[in-house]
Amino acid sequence: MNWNSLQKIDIRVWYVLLVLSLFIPLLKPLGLPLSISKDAKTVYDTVEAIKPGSVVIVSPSYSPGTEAEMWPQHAAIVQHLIRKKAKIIQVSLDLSSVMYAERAWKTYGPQNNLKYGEDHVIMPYKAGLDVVIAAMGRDLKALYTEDYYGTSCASLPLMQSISGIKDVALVIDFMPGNTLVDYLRQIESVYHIPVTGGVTGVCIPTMMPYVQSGQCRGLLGGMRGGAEYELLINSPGAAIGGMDAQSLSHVLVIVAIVLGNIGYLASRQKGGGGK
Amino acid sequence: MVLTQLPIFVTMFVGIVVLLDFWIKQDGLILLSRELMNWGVIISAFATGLGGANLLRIHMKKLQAQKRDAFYSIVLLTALIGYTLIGVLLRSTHPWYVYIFNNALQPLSATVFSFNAFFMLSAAYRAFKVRTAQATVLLVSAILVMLGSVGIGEVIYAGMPAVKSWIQNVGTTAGFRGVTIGTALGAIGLSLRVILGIERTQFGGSGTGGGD
Repeated sequence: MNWNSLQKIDIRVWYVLLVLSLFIPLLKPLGLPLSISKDAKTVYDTVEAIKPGSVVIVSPSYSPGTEAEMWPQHAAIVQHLIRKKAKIIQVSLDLSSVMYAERAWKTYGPQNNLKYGEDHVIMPYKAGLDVVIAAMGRDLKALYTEDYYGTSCASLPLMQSISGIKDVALVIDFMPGNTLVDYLRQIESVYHIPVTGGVTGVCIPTMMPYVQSGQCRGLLGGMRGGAEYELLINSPGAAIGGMDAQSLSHVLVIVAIVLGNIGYLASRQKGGGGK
Repeated sequence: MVLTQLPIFVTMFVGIVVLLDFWIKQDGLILLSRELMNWGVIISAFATGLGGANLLRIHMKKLQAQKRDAFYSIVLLTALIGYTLIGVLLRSTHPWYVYIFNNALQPLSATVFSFNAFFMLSAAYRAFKVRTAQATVLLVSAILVMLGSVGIGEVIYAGMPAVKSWIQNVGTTAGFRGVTIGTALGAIGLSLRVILGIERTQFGGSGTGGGD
C-alpha cells in the first residue's frame, strides 16, 4: 500500500465527512456519557448558595457567531436563577447581546409568572466594555437611567430596591472575549462581589489562572460547560443535544491528524521529505 | 502648542483623578471620578458611531469609483443604513428589528463562524505533523484535550476528562499565568507612561515625548 497517499486525500472528502459527523448525531443522538467537571459544579454551587430575592447581574457579552456555545450556558443559568427566586438585571456589553438578554427573559420569564420590572430588568447596550463595567461599579444607577424598553429605571421596583453595585449578590458573565476578566478586575477585586460565568472553548485557558486563584467562582467552558449545567439543573437543552455532534467531529479531526501523520512519516522514510 | 499640549493635560488629569479615587475616599473626588467614568462610556459610544461613519465613507468611495466589487458595497450600505434607520426610528425592540436580527444577522454570523470547523479540519490534516519533538508533544496534548472535552473520550477511557483537566490546569495554565502577569505589568507601565504624558502615540503622533 502506498502509505504516502494518506496525506494527499482530497480535502473535499474531509469536508463531506465533517458535515456527516455533525448532522448524523443531531438526527440520531448517540447518548454518549458526560461527566460533570469541578468548575461547572462550582458555578452551580455559587448560584445555589444565593438567597431568594438576591439581585444578580447577568451579562451576556456574546454575539450570534458564538451563540451555539454561549446561549445554552446563558439559558441554563437563567433557569437556575429563576428557580432560586433571584432578581435578575441583564446588562449587555456587546451590541447584539441585548437580543439574547431579551430572548432569555421572554423564554423563561412569563412562563414562571415573573413580572418585568419587579423580578427582571434588561438594560440597554452600552459601548465601552471595561469602561462600562468600571462605571457600573462606581454608580450603577447613573450609568443606567433607562431600561432597554425606554422605561425610566427610577420607576422600576427592582431598580428602586438597590442603591448600587454593593446590593448585588453575584455577577455572571458569558464571554467569547475578555469581559469576564474585566468583571474580575473592576467588580470582584474592587467591591468583593462574587463573579462567575461561562466562556467559549478557546477562552478556557485565558480564564484558568483566575479560576484556580478563586477569583472566578468556577467556569463553564464551551458547549460542554452548557451541557454540564443542563445536567446539573436537570433541564436538557441544546447543549446536551449538540455534544454528540461535537464528539464525532472531534474524532474526525483526530483521524485526519493521525492519517496525515502516517502519510508524512511514510514519505519521510522513503526519503521524500514530506511537506 | 495648545492643540498638542491640551490633550496630554486632559489625559493626565483624568488618569490621576480616576486612579486617586481608588485610594482616597473623598466625596468631591468620588463625584468627579464617577462623572469622568460616565464620560468614558459616552466617548466609547461616540467611537462606535465614528466606526460606522468611517465604514460608510469607505464604501461610498468604492461606489463612486465603480470598482468590480461595488455590488457588495451596495449590499453593505443598504444593510447598514436600513438597519440603523429601523433601530433609530422604531427602536431595537420593534418586531422588524428583532425579525432581521433573528433571521438575517444571527444565521449569517453563525454561518461565517461555522466555517472555522472546516478551516480547522483542513489545517489539522495538512499542517499538524510530527516534524519535531515539540510538535509531537503539542499534537499528543491536542488529541488528549480534544478527546477529554467530549463524551466519546469517556467511552474510550473513563479518566480522559481528568487527563484533559490536568493538561489544561497544570501545563496550559502555568504558561497563561506568566503571560497574564507579564501583560498586567506591561499595562501598568503603559498606563503610567500615558498618564505622565510620556507616551503620546494615542494622539496620532509618531512616538514618545521623551523619557525613555
